[in-house]
Amino acid sequence: MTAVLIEGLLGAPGEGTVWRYDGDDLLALGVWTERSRGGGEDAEPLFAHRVSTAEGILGVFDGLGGSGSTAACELSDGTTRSGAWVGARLARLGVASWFRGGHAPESLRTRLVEVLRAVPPPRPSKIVSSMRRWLPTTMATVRYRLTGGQAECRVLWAGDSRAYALSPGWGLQALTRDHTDETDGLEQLICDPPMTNVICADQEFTIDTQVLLLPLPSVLLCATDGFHGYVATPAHFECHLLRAMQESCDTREWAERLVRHVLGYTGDDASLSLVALGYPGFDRLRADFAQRAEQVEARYGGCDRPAEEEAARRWRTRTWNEYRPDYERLMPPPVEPL
Amino acid sequence: MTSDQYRGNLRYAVDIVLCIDVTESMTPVLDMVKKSALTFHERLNLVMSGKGKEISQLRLKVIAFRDFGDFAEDAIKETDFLVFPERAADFDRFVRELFASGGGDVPESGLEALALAINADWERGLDRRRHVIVMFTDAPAHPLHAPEAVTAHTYPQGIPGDLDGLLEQWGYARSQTAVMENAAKRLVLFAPDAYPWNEITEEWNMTLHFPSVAGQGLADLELHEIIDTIANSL
Repeated sequence: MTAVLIEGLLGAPGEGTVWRYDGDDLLALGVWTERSRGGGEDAEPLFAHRVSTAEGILGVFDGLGGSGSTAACELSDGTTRSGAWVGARLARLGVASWFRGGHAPESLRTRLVEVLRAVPPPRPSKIVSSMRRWLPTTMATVRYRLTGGQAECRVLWAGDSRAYALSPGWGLQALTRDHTDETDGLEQLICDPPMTNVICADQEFTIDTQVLLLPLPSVLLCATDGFHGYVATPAHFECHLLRAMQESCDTREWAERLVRHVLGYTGDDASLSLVALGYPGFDRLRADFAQRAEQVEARYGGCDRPAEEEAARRWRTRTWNEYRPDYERLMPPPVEPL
Repeated sequence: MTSDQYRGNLRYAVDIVLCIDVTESMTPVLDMVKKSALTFHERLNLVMSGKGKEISQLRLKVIAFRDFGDFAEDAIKETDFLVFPERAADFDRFVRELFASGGGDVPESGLEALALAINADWERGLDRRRHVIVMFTDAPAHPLHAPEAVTAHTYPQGIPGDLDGLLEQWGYARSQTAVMENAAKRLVLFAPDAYPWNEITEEWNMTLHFPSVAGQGLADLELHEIIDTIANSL
């Protein structure tokens, strides 16, 4: 894939890079943006596909700048990088090498621990806190294998980066559940709650997982909270995805439009990796989603959000309640407290 | 819907309570703490905007404390939540008038100040709320309801009887008794590695402790560290 640098629309801070791939029954795109040049704590989105075995992986990694603000390395030009910056990139590296090696899903955590522990620990901090972590990052990946007209998907994640399936019939469907005590998607958006599980080098973490069989054609995507965490309601992320798709002539333009869209609304670095499996080309993909795009635009995309605070709150809740059943149909159930 | 409307929904409403020990031993560092407080909102806005986080509303409240067991009349002095920048002048006036004196024995009434902060009138309506308590002290604290303190006629009513009770109010994941919102709360301690601050750091969630040596504390504290610590916790 080749990278193309895209600047935000007039007034939107930041810039982005896109990747795209158009293959046989396989379209892929990656979007990566940062709020300030060189400081982006999201790693570049991951996509790899092995033709010989008809399997692939997509993923995103969001270094956590608050809990991982400790400087972790100095580049040759003298600029320092935070533990969050390094953690996200190392996790990406770990996942990519794990996929290349064809290892079992259960070994991913071990691989990530190996990669992260290779970095010397930081000098002791003046600050004592369980909120601070060394090399903290979120992760959302989907490893898929195409078999018998289906995509056998293994979803693996930690933190609040998310994996989704996108289909004309059901719209955007979350495949992951954020690791936060708050389990309601709208409340997560409104509160930005602390995460209860993230990948890091100095504390225990878990890699959550679920396995799904999806019929082909299918669209899978992974996105960091820069994409899904700054919209009015969860439905509006789908609006952005489909609006940008319908306005585009090809995969590359779709990716470029996503950069411009996200720079217009996000307050964070943002990355997204997407693959459309079983679509012979972009035109067919766009045509398949045309009706769904019209529906979500008509229901959620308009300017009907009330200006008054309390009415806006009710509008947001109503919108979410309507959207939620389909959005959560493939989501794993919440973990009950012990 | 425009992008601005989206972003307008998801800015941070930040309430901060500064609990400041104003006993005699704080003399060497109180000016620095006051300077931190006075430039706090501008620096915080700057750091937050550098992180791409916008603040929709910033309110500050100050609780200055000494020791109920030493002198009841000036053991606690506090402001309401003051909205910035509109009430900045009131905030400045209050902070500038703080001076270090009294306190009696080494431990102070820091836990009473913390209890008052926990029970403050926090913002409950806006999105992405952050409720931050910042404690500046160079001393350990008396236990809550210490006999010599509760006899003071100014002793606050309705605060928990001990540290466990205060933890119940601070809350934990899925807590039913919490006063603080789990997603919003942060506690930043610039305090010695001594009771109760070390226990709080160990047992309470969402806390950051900048430990110092009791009796000498805070001397090596720098303004940018304070601001960065708080901004990174949001």
